[in-house]
Amino acid sequence: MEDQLADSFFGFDASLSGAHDEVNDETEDGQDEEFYDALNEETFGTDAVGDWEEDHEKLAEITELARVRSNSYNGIEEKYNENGADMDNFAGGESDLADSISRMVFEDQDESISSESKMARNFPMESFDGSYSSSAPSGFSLWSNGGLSKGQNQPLITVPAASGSIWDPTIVHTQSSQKESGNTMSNITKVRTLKDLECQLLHKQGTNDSHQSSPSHSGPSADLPLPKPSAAWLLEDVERELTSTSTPSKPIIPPAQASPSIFPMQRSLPPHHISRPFLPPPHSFLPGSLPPPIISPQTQGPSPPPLSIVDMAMRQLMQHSLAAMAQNEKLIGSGGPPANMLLPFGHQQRNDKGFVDVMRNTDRPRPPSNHMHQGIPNFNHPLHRVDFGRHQGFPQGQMPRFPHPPFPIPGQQMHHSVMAPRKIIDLDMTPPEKVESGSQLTARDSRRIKLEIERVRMLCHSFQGYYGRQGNMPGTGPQFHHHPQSFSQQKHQYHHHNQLNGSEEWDEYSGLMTQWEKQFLLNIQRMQLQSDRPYVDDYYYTMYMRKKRERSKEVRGQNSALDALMERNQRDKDNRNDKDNRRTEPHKYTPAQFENSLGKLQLYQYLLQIEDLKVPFIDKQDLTTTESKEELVAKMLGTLQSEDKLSAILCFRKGKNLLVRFLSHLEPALQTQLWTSLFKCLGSVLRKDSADGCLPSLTPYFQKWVSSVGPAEISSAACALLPSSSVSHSRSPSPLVSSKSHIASLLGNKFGISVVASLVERIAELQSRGALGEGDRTAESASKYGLWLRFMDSVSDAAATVPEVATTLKMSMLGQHLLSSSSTEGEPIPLERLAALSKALHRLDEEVVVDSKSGVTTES
Amino acid sequence: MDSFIEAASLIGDVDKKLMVLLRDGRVLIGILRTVDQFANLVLHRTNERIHVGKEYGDINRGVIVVRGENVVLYGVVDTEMESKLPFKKVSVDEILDAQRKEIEAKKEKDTLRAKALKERDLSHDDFF
Repeated sequence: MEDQLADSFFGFDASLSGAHDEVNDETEDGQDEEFYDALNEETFGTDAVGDWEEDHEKLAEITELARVRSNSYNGIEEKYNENGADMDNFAGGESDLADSISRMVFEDQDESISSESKMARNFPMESFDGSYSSSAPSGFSLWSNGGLSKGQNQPLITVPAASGSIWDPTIVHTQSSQKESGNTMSNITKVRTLKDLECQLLHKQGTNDSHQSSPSHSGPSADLPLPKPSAAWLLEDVERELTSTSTPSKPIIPPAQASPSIFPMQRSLPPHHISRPFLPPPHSFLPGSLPPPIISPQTQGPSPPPLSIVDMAMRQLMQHSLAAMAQNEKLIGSGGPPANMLLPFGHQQRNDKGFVDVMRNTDRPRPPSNHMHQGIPNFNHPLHRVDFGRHQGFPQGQMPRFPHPPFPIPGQQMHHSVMAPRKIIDLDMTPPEKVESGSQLTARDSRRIKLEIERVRMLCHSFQGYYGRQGNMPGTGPQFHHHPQSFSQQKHQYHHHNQLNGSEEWDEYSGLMTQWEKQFLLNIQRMQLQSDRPYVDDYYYTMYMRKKRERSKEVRGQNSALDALMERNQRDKDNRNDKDNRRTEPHKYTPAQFENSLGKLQLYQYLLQIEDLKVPFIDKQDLTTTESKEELVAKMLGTLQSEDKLSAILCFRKGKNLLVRFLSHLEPALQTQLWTSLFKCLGSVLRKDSADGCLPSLTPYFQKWVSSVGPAEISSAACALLPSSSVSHSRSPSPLVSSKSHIASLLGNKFGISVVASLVERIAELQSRGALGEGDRTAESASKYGLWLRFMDSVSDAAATVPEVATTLKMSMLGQHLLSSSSTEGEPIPLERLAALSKALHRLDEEVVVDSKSGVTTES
Repeated sequence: MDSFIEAASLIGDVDKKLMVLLRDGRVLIGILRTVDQFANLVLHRTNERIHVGKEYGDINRGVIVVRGENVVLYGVVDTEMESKLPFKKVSVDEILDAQRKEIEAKKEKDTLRAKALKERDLSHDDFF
């Protein structure tokens, strides 16, 4: 099936699909043309050129006789399944799109049609074909002609090699399906024109039997309730009138030629295609991708007229033809629903009845015109109006305009010149999962289609909001956006606009970088453009903007009111921008700062300088610093005395060694704050020191400091060891509980025990000398006694929890007695208690030393 | 302002197919997924492409993070042009073999040149 699809109409040539791009591409390199031409030749043979008008006439005759509608166009070997049920086979890969399109069409149709849904499914394909062969209008004719009836005659429209290029709008070879070959083959084998087909449809409508042709009938037209036949007829009529005088035998479109007739392009197109040897395999779901040949032919011949010019010419012709069209409108009005449905085209004028004149304009295949590609769906497009009213009870004239047409018309997608309809159709289409690997054209087409789908989706979303505010679309909301059935049946949906990447391919991984992240980067880059000195850093731009403002002010100055208004608007805009900026940059970006990172003098360098100063034989000239030792020490202390930084430094062996070396240069009087800070973070430092074992080397310095300082310093150190809660509160059981873990952790470490033992010894020493309260006022000394007591209690309690210490303490009846006794605040700490505690701690210390002999560090 | 910056930065090329030339001469082709201010790149579905003459081969590299300092230049790959290039894709083994031969040939040529220069009392450095 996929192969068939690949060769089917749906595989539009990418070059055509992206009309606006195509032109540029073409001009840029002629490879495309050549390539496409080659493809054409392969597909249709070199003798593809023929008298297509004759073929048309023949086909018309045949059609009249057979009244068989060709429902699909096929490549030479392609055949569509006659069974609508087989459409499910399309589900895989690219066929999804076609399938979804068909379903969408079907759903939108009248319920009466719904019973024939299966048949309807085939429609999109047919319409595609038709539109393909004859561009948009042909799509109508196909619609009218082309529903596939189950088991019915299903003439396959194929473009024989001899008939000309697939893109030839007017020439279609119909080939009956194998089943039907017996009946319809003879009839269909001939080429017939779209005109003929349309005429037939017209006749039908005239007899009001358009909708209800018998199933045995060549189904498509009969099955489809669409009014398209009428539309097709109209188109045909217009075309006749317009083109009656102009019968370009050669497809090449001279600019001058374009002006005389509305459809010169159509006629001209076939020859181009004919010239091409090979047609790229059509993609089933590439509505947007038009065959490159259309564009390319022009490059071969004389310089092609600018597309935009052609379009304009066509528009003019269309306007002239509107009068003639008016007659048709009557028919259209009576023609029933189908007429409204057709209309895929951009230049439309709507009449009172809601009929879109535009249909006539654009139906014929023509080279994609850049100017018509607006990238924005035309919401005035007939599609939006089509049949909405009827289905939803709206009067035609009051039909709401939908960005999203209820009925996607496959044929419309074929229309290159009009972006809007195609996009609309593409909405909600599942992206093709696979791109035909063999054909670059196919891949290209699919990319373009996907891109357009995405664009349209986004536009529709935005417009949805608009219409929602309008509030004039009662009951249309859901249809506007979704076709429930088709949605449920689709395998994939576009959820994110970012799923089309820059290369226009479906990419599920796109959008990994969020908008916030992008904005973050942009802010970083924008910082470089922000300057406090714009006249220095960005003089020319600043002056340019200033002059520009002044100039605009002068211009506006004549009208003061206007000026004021403009200024206010500008101010508002600035405010908005400021707000946006504030929103997008919640905080100013500051590059990450690393402590002691490059370019910053590090503590170690200070230390080295200090050590250099101590070296007696170093020349002063060789010193790297002119600062004195005191200054350097003060700098280091300034950093180290911060608890956070000290703990950070002590996390590393190098930092601990640094501290050890630094302490040797530090007078004990200057060490107090350092030790206090160290004790506050001692818990974490000790834990991290288990591997390094560097801390015990601090012990000598601590003991030296302890022995040299008075009770005030010791009390501050003791305070640091106590949990903050126990310091701030009076003696109570709770702080003891919390302190237990803190000091207990110290008792599990060599350095910790040394610290605690040294403190206890020093306290005992001071106590024995009666110097604990030395120099303190009464109140302070009283509180200090309390502190000492709390400290001792904490140590005792902690020691009791440590098995080794507890054992030692138990061995001393005195210790047990003392520990169990309570001391009243203000009284000296019993020497016995201190002695027992000290003894216990020292024993523990020795044990730890013994234990640690096998460890990292030992200290005698 | 943002659009201006975006146009001049990698951000605008996110989710596009890029060709990145690295300092060591390797060429990576992949979809740019994210970048940072240092031009560190995350490439997805990356292929390392080796060109030898009119032939080339792709070595699948999957997702790859490129440190920004290694990026010499990058460009968005025109996928349409890509398919039209007059180069022939060959297998990885073939291209590696061709690359090895090319390197050997170059080395040999350099050796000969150096030898010839030396015979003429010139050194390769004289040219620099």
